Amino acid sequence: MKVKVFFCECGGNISENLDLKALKKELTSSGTEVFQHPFLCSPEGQAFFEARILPGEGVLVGACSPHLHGSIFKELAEKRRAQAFHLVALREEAAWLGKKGAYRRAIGLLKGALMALSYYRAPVLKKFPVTEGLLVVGGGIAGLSAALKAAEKGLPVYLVEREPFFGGKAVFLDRLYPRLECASCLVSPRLSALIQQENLHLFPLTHILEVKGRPGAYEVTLEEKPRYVDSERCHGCGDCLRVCPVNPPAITMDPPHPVPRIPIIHAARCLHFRGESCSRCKEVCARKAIRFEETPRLHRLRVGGIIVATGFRPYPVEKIPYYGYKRLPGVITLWDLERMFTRQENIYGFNGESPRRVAVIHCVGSRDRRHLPYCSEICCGLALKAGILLRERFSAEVYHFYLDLRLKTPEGEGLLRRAKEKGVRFIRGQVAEISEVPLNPEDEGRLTLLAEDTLGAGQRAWAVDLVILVPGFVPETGSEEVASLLRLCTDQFGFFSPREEKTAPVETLRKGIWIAGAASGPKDLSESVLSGEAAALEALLFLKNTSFRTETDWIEWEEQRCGRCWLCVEVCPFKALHIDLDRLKVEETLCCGCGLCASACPSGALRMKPFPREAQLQSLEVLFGET
Amino acid sequence: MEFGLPLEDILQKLAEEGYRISRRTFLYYVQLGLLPKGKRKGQKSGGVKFYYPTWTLERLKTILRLKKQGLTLKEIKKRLPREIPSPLPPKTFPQTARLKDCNVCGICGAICPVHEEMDLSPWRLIQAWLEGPDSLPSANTPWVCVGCYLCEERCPREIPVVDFLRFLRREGLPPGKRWRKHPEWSRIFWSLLEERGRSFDFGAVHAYHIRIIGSGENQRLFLRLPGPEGEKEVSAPSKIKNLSAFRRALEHAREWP
Amino acid sequence: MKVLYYPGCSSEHLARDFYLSIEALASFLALELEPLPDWNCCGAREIEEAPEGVGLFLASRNLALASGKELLVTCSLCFHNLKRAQNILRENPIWRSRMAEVLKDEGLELSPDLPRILSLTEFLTRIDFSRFRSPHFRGFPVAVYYGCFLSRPYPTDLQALEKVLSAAGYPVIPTTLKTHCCGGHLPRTDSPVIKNLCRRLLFEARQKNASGLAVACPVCKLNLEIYGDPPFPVRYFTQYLGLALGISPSWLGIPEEE
Repeated sequence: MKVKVFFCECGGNISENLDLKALKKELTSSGTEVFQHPFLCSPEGQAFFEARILPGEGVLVGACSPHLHGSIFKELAEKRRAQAFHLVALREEAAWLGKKGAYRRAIGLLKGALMALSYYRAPVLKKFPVTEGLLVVGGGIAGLSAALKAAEKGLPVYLVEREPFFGGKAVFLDRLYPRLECASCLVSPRLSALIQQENLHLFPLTHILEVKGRPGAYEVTLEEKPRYVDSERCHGCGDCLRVCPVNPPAITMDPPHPVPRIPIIHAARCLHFRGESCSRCKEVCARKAIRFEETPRLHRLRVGGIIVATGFRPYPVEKIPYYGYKRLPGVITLWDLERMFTRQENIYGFNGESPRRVAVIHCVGSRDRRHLPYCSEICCGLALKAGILLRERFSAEVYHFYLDLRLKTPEGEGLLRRAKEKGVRFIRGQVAEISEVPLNPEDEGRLTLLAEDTLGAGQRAWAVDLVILVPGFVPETGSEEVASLLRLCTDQFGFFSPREEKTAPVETLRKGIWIAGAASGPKDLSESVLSGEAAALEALLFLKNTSFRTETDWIEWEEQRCGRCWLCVEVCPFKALHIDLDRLKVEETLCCGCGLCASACPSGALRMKPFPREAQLQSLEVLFGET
Repeated sequence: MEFGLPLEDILQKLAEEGYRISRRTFLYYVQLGLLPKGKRKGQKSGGVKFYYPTWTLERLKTILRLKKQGLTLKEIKKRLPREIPSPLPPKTFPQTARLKDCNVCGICGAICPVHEEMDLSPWRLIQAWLEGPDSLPSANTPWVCVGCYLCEERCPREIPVVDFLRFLRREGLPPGKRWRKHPEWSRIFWSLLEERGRSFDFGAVHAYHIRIIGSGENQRLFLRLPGPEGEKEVSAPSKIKNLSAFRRALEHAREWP
Repeated sequence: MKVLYYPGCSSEHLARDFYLSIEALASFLALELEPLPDWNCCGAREIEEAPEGVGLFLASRNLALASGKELLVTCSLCFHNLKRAQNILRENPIWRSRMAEVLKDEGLELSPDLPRILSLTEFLTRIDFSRFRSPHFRGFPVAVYYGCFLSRPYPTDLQALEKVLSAAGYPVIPTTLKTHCCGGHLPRTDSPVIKNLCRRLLFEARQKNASGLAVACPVCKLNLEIYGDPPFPVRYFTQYLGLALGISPSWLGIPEEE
């Protein structure tokens, strides 16, 4: 088989660190034909590529990761009836290692790949049916935007939310950045649409127990925790809320616009569940909706795809002891403040009075090697907004302590001007400490805050009544479990990784699973809605087809070699292998060709496609010989 | 890359400080291996000059001092540090790369307990140092630092602030930028340490002023106490056993830069 | 078991009371504490201006003299200096061989694994003080103060003082400034800074209704006593422990008129 090699310069990404000329020379000297193009994935590049392949030849591409454009080259090669195809990620695996060592690594990979090509056996493309249903994990603003759009287009959608009410954190926002419009006016119509939409099935108080199956046909098991209030009977009059003798009440309907409009009984606080004979809520309910005997319920669903919108949570600032959160009265987070605003609660300072001077502290834990090494981008705007509201509602003196103000959208600057006009003060410096012990005895009864005004005269201490901590964003608790249930990749901070950040931001490496909202990184309300709807579009494109084509037939079982230890069955993470009368059966819709079984097999009875074990071993030998 | 000083500059600097040495003697010491070899460097005007590392100056001073004490060159060679100091230029803070991470957030100045006494906050010195050692403003900061490590504890970038200030105090600054070289009590501290192996706890020295009369066996120490007690005589620190061996070792320990 | 301890220069003068109370505690509890024979000064803060070798030598000599597995250090600054030197000797073979060479001048040798350096606060947590409490003793609320060098950069157990004092019968009042700085040895002694720092520390103790402040460092005690305005009872935690065990105040270095 004649093999042709194609190098992509990747616009300098590869050619700057890797001497492609020398590579070409070395490969040509051993008789291989080598071509080079500055952008092999561009229209001209693809034409260049296609024109040079003859039927029956082998094709080796040295370009970027196969996840990015691998399928483009592969399909072109197949179109030209090439006999074998292989791709070496010269960019990720050689060039991006730096100039040093890149060349040896590249030549090792390429020579190894050339060796492997002679073993190439193409996997088989097959059609699989797709179930229409869509599971959306997380009922925050991103998840419900995705669910609404998909349901509108006629998909059956199952919206799963861990909390008793839908809407996530958005329902506890008071005003929105940057125009200070009322948040609930924008969020609550979407929430009420949830109930009206016929194709939408709501699962509050629910989490995922198990996910089985393949893209297009997932089997999901859900567990719904008891609410102790019958949702069929209850019509949300709220009589029960007023009679609960416990403080805080054991039966609540917390959010300002609860969806569903059904209270929940918190068993941990409820007297009935603590062995006392209270049943006041039950007695007062005219519709007999209280059901103390309710137990967890299991639901089994068949869906074609899953959207993950598990969202974020603010960084737990109690981890920073010198800010005194949860220890000092008058030290609250921005999210506490938003909640207080939406519930129209009174806000008190350190001394129990209405605050006269307020400090808003940006970047709490952010850009800090010990806490969050990144910037969450959204929080500056939220903080600015909160500062203006505090100034307007309490006519308090407001001081912002910031490092860099990162205000999004063209209107952000206008909001900053508005804040300054209202007399909000901005001090550039990281706060080093918040303490109840004053520097000057006359400040007793206020909080002392230490920071250096790095742009001003270096003032160092402020006495304030209320401190608003503005923490960065971290992935919501439990997103780790979702990642392991769905086998999704996360970045080092726990946010879900998209297939490609710029051009495929809502897709994941797994077909049929998409991500939306702040689960993949800090996002504001509009970005969350945007990504939710983008994920819905991707889901529709996939699920509205009755089938999809994918490669199968990845492994071949050699019966006479097999020692029947069934290690392969044990290691398969997709449960694609099972034993049928002493014979190995492969469920081809589940197998994705990861190769774990073949590498676990002690007798080499499993042959992988497109490259069997011998090919892999020989390539490795070449690679280690070269580097 | 630092080339060091040309021979002429070294000789001139020594002359300014009152040492006298000829060019010929200098080269003889190089030949004997007492001083490091110079590096050749072509001049724009043509011709070649030899450049010597900056620490040659200090080493030469030690040689001349020891010579004055009557030691022979052979004996001097024995007493000098055997290994010629590492090729690192002496004025480089080894962790400069970590300083580059400074976010200029001001937390070091904000938490510093003695901030009011400082001319400039530590982060300003860090930024100036990154500009280049020559742009360092003269500031008392390194000498005011009490080494409480609060800044390092809080710094979001984990910058070794105390180490950096300590470096500036010890070797990072040219003499002209030193704020205060030898306060009186520092001198007393070291003389007691050398005489007895133990010293006065520094707290006493700073809290009360100390006065010493006489020396050796007749030495008497007085503390001037605040308040009505006035002056009080105290006993000198007790001595350790083999003082001459201790002093010899202490002198030996001073040799490394 | 015999334990060597390093008293430091302050034990001979201004922290004489600290030294006395440690000795009194040791004899009362029958702890075999022995001062390190022929110890030398650790160099205090002055070593920072001397070449690195000097400070390392002063510490290495003490480490070489300490024959046991553990060396107990009573003064916080000495603790810091010894700990720092020990870290350098462990991590940097060049300095270690240089120090070995210098110590030869005195006929001393560093043991291959240097002794473990232990602060007095941590050491005393090994003793259950509730067993020794005097029946006549009635505890009063105290606040504790660790100062810098027991907290940073080589942190010790920052609950140690709370543990031993509450076992001895004192209600310990939690404070937030317990690891803050008292001003140490700021070169300019007439500076108002130390006064402000000490005043703030005592302010917190007073604000939270403590009747005394237990400290572990000679410099902190000195500063708090001299600059604390208005005055507030400040004692070494060992003195408080001694009182709880029923040891006479004069043995603990507490002046009689108080």
